[in-house]
Amino acid sequence: MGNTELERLVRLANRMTYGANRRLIQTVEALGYQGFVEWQLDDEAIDDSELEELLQAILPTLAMTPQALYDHVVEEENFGAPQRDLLIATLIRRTFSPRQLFERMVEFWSDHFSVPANDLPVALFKFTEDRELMRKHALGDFETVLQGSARSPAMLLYLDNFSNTADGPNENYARELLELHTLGVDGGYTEADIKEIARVFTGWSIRLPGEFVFNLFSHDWQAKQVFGQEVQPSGIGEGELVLSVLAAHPSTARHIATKLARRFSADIPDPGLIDDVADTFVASAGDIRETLRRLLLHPLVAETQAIKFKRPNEFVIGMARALETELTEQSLLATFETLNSAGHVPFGWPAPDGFPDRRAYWQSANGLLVRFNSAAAWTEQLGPRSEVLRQATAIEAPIAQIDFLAETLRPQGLAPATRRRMLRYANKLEAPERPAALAAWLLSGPEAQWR
Amino acid sequence: MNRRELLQWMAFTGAACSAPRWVLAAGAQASNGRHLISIFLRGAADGLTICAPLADARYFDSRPTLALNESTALPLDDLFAFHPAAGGLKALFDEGDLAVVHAAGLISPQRSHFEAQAAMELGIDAFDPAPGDGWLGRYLLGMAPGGPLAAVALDKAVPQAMAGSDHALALGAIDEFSLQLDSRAHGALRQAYAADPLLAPTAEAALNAVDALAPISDLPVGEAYPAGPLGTALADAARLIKAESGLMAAAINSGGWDHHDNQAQQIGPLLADLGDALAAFRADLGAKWADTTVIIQTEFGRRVRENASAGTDHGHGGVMLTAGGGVNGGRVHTDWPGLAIQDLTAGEDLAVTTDYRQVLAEMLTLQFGVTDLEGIFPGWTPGPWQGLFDPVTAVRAGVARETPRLRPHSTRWDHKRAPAPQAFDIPEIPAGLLP
Repeated sequence: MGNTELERLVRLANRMTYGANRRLIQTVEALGYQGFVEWQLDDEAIDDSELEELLQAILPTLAMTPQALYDHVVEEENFGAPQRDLLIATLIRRTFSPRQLFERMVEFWSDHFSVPANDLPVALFKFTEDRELMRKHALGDFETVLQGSARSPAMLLYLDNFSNTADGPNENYARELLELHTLGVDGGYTEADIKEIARVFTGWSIRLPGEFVFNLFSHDWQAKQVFGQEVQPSGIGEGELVLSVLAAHPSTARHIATKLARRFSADIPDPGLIDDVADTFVASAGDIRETLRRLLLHPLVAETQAIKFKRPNEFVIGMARALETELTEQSLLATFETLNSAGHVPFGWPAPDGFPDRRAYWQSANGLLVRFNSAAAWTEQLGPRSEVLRQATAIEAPIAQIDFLAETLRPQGLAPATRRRMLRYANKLEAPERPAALAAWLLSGPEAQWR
Repeated sequence: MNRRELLQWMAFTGAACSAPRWVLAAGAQASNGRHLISIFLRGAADGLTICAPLADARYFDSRPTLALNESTALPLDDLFAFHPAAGGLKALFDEGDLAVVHAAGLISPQRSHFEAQAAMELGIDAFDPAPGDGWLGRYLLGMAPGGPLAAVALDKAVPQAMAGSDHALALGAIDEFSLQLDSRAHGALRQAYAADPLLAPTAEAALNAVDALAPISDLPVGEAYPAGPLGTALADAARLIKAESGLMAAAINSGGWDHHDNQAQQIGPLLADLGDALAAFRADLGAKWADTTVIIQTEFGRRVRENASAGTDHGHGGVMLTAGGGVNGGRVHTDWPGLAIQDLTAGEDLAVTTDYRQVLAEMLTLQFGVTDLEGIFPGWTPGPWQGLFDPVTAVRAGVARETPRLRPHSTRWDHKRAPAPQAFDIPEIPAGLLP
């Protein structure tokens, strides 16, 4: 395995998408790395209409107004619909959308502003939040996402702010807003700040079928002290002001920069990288696209090795993409089952901190076993639906077949020792089972777990 | 440096780090054949509802809607009573098989879930410098190496508490832990992983565990466990113990204890589940209950005064529970700090009078024969033993007990912990879309 330009491009494409395949590699080779980043950053210029039309056709809930959705779910008793449809749409988009970086950022913000869609009312609100907030602003402006999240019925319900009133402040949202959404746990705030910010957000509540309402009568109209500054009572403006202050705070810039760098480069990102990305976050007033551009084109990202252990999501969707598996009910179910066994069903993390993003959590015996089984089941059962396996099966000469699979599923190249092991394994296989078994071996092997 | 060189470099430095462990293992303590079951209640369970100070009038003043009803609470002593749903816990308590440690927790208040959980799992006080491994991991490292099933997490991932133990294994659930590969694929994968020093130990552990678990998955699952993740995990722990698999420690998580609103509706079913699961575990283990110690923790207790959402916000002192054949059960162990304002942390939270490490240290010493506590809790020295556990030599022989009667357990809709759907209807999809 040499340090070729192709190897570098494949690695970088793997890092910022849900996995490279032949089509994506052609594109990144044609555009070069910088061109590829720019292409993906300009998400609206990438045509995804074919996919979106298909989604609208199979999931009518996606286009429903909050009232229509409420009627469909509650009045017509389709209680499982929001969770199911959001999950299906998410899995399909991650696998098939040409806007790969955009989808990764939707996932990033869904983790950052984690709302588990595991119960009916939260799932109902989360469904709309995903469409109206996360998918509208995933590459937009951080403060817009933050202000939207504070008003989002999903967040208001999940972290209890809907019942935060002057008579009895509920601190749940205020604490996680500071610790998880903005400043970070060491970002410089006190228990007193949490209590005061909880008072600021009194009266921020929900009105059915799922919209934000500011309730004048449950708002605390006394002055508050936040970070040593007096906040004069002005109603909803107090919360808006606090969110603006938090969005512009240098601790928030560092916190977001650290999490982005962790997602796209390493579990423990280089401090110099965090500094530079945080600087861009501040200089661009929280422009997510600018911040990402700085991160992805940074030499500490563009020139470093693949040392992120794929999360189950990246593993299974990467496998579907690498095999070029056609979308079917069966492929969707296989994706779901892998994620369910691995504990990584989208919107399924039970706590407000979002799914972990560290190898120490995901590298487990259970986690690897799920991948081994998933690759074996996928290649055997979905083989006929995979363009790559269909083509491999058509190749009669064993060495040519092996080389085709290696080049397609491991485009960055095989180390000579890996190739020898693959040949040894191939020798033990009968011709009809060989393509699927070798593909499973490549996809569940150690090299395929890193990005 | 390419990735292979990098891996080799990391393996090299990793090998250098692990060298002292071999030195340590040479003089390691042998496992005394006992089993440690560590259950963490995630989300900060409300100690004042689990075990309420009913004889303190201030309790009722602070909890106008959430205070337990004196006529239905389950009295434990002159001061405390269990929540009425905790009948399973009460039965164990009455028979001397379960104790409460009240006003326990991190000495320094830490009201962030994630920071407080991490500190407790790492075995430090809040704000202490964080070590790279957890208290259970360090305990296991000090033991002579066990078999492939010596340390398991009955969960998708190994918790931070077990970090540092090379062999800790996240099993998920035993019945789902199987490898659908033939022997050729199995062998080829094993060879492939041998070339990746960072992943090889985990892959090796996974492949070995599949073989080791085969006879255990043939054992019948104990009866009477409540449906749900906690019951499943304890039933699996019982199978590992009954099969004499060499289990030294198992870690189990229970979620959904963060009750900022409608606490009364949410906590009852969770306590019934916890008590019923533990009672079933004892019945299932039979004589082996005597060789088992269960420790139950949560990251902190909740605010004394309830909030306006009929819930409670984050506080400080909480409860720990101990169970098993060797606990000094049937007692609420506490240096009760009281609920007067001047006695509360920051004037509003129950104070901590027992460092959670004191409980762990006494357990490890008396029940597991640990002699080097400094290796497990560096820089911290326990106080005098509180009489929480019997020394292991005095542990009474297990007596098989009649299976306790359990209330029928209906499936409930607990919105904070409902699992993802096991299956779902998929709409019909037109053919032809490729990635």
